[in-house]
Amino acid sequence: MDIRVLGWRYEGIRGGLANITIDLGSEPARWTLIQMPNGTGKTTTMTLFRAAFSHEAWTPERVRSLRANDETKTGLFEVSLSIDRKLFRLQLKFDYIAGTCVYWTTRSELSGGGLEEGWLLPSDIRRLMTSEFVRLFVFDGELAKEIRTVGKDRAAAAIKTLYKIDLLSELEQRMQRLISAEQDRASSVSTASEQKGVSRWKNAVSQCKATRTRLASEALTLERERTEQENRKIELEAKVATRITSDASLVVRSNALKAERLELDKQIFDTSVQALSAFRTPAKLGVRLLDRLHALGGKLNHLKLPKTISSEFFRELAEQQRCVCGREISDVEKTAILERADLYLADDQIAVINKMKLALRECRADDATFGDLVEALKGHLRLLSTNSRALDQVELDLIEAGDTEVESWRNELAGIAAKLPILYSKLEKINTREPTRQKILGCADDTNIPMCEAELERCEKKLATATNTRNFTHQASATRRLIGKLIAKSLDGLREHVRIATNEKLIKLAPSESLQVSKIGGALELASSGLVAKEGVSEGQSLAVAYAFLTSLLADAPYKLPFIVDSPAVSLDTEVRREVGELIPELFGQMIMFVISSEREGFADAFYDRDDVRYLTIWRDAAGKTATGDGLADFRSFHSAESLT
Amino acid sequence: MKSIREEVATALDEVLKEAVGESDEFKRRFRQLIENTSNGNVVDTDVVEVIRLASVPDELDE
Repeated sequence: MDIRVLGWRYEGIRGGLANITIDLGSEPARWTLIQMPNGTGKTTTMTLFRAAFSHEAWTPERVRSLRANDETKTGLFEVSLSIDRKLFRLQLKFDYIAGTCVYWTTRSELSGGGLEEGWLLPSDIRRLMTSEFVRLFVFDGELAKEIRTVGKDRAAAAIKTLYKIDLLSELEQRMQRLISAEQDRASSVSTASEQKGVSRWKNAVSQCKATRTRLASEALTLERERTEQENRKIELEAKVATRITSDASLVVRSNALKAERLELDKQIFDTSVQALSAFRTPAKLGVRLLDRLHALGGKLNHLKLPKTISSEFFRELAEQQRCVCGREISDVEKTAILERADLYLADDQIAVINKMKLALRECRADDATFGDLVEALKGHLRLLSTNSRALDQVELDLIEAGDTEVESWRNELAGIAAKLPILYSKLEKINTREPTRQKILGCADDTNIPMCEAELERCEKKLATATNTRNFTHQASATRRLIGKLIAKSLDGLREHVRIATNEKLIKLAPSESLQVSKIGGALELASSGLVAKEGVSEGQSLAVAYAFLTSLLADAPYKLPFIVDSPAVSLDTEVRREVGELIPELFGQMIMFVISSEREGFADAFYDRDDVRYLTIWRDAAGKTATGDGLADFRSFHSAESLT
Repeated sequence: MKSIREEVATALDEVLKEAVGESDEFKRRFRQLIENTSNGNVVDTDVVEVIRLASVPDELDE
């Protein structure tokens, strides 16, 4: 990504920068040397550049400190940038009265390209431009001192940011977030530690499976016993029936009774159906109920319920131009009518209620209907009981005639008759799927197979969730550790890379001073030597180290950044200046250097023989008005107070 | 001297070489994830997919 500064302008800014525009053109020179005497606004310009690149927040005091004079109410600093050949304009609009600074952006990539409020650089650049990072390329002389101060994390942080290692750190954090989200999702399963949660549900599943096996075995035993008892019952009944057939008179009696029983069963069935049908008609249940239903119908009639106006009426009315009263229906009335339409019943609801009203009013019944049917049913049941006893008597007659075998069979049948209901009940309790029956029978997951299976399914789901979460946590932690290792190894490699490159440049910059970086930890650590003790490094040496480091740092970066520097050589002695002047120009795609006239010697003059250099001079004339000069002639001939010192 | 890009690639190779218990598929997708991360082109589902490919030691299920 290639970022270049195409120009900037000031309005209402202090230090003689009230109304100046610097236009470097759409293809700016590789090197721009701007000569500005002290007091004309170099520091302010650097501050504004840093703010523009890093979207700094401004306090009211800082905003007001930029004010050109008491009459000035607003100010502006605008930077034109080319980012991968797309034009961006960043504006800082200052309101000196309110003490605010608002960022605005123009983007040529957008159709229209108008001003939009906000700091709207491409997202990749927004991530990069922290205020700490911006200080590296909008170069702060103070940084030269700090960059090698133990405890400052600037050098390592710069490598991390520039070479996108911080994106890997973000990935690490993202993984931690995903682990937390997964654990939150599964928190309903277990609040215990992941492994404990898995163990708990594993035990629950094992227990459910054991219970299911036990219940299935119990059910099988009961089924077998039931089948045996039922078969034995059929066998014994057949034996008794065969014995009866040996006596002709008993056969006749028995057959007649059986025929009667068939008839009784039919009558009981028919009467039950009729009684149930009558029971479903409330009016037929009794005189009091009939009277109350008539009373309810009468009340509905008396109150004229339901109202005859339906919600449909109002919906249709809302669509009309005028109301039934003649007034015009505007949008306001329409909304109100539609909102209130829901208070009325719909057509189909009215129809149902009317039908009910009619039924209530007109229901008629013979109050004896249900009672008669019940009495008839009771009579049939009595006859059935008598029939059973008579059939029983047929067998008893055989016993009385001395048939001990029949007596023994009957006793066994009585035992089976007592046993079978118990077996049926036990089987129902163990097998029923009917929730109501399960409740009535007091079933639980350790006594009922369907409930046990449901519990097993629930526990298996919980186990799956707990296992999944535990595994995910383990996998994500392992992956995070790999990323952590990658970050550490990458940083080590990058630091070493930058360190070696820095030292190579230092040999050229200060060949006589044994300046070497021994380690890039949080900060730059210099190799101890007689010349360079930690406290003994001069400002010039610090600057040389900083330039060597910065140029090494930025050389291979995926971002080509402009290098903007204030007084790049003022603290260097002439010899080192010359070295810096020779070395630095080759290292940046675009350099904007603010210099004072005393820096021309040794530093600026290293550019005089080069092409692709732009020279600007900004000064205040005798009347205090800001003037600008464009070109080498003005640049070389300019004299100011500091050049004489 | 290696380029900066090569330094990161070397670090990635070393890290994956040390990850002996991980499958080739995991390593391939992890490498892809790192590349996409550097391009700012990663969503949560990509990350989760790579995580799910990481191995789970047998002793966890014992």
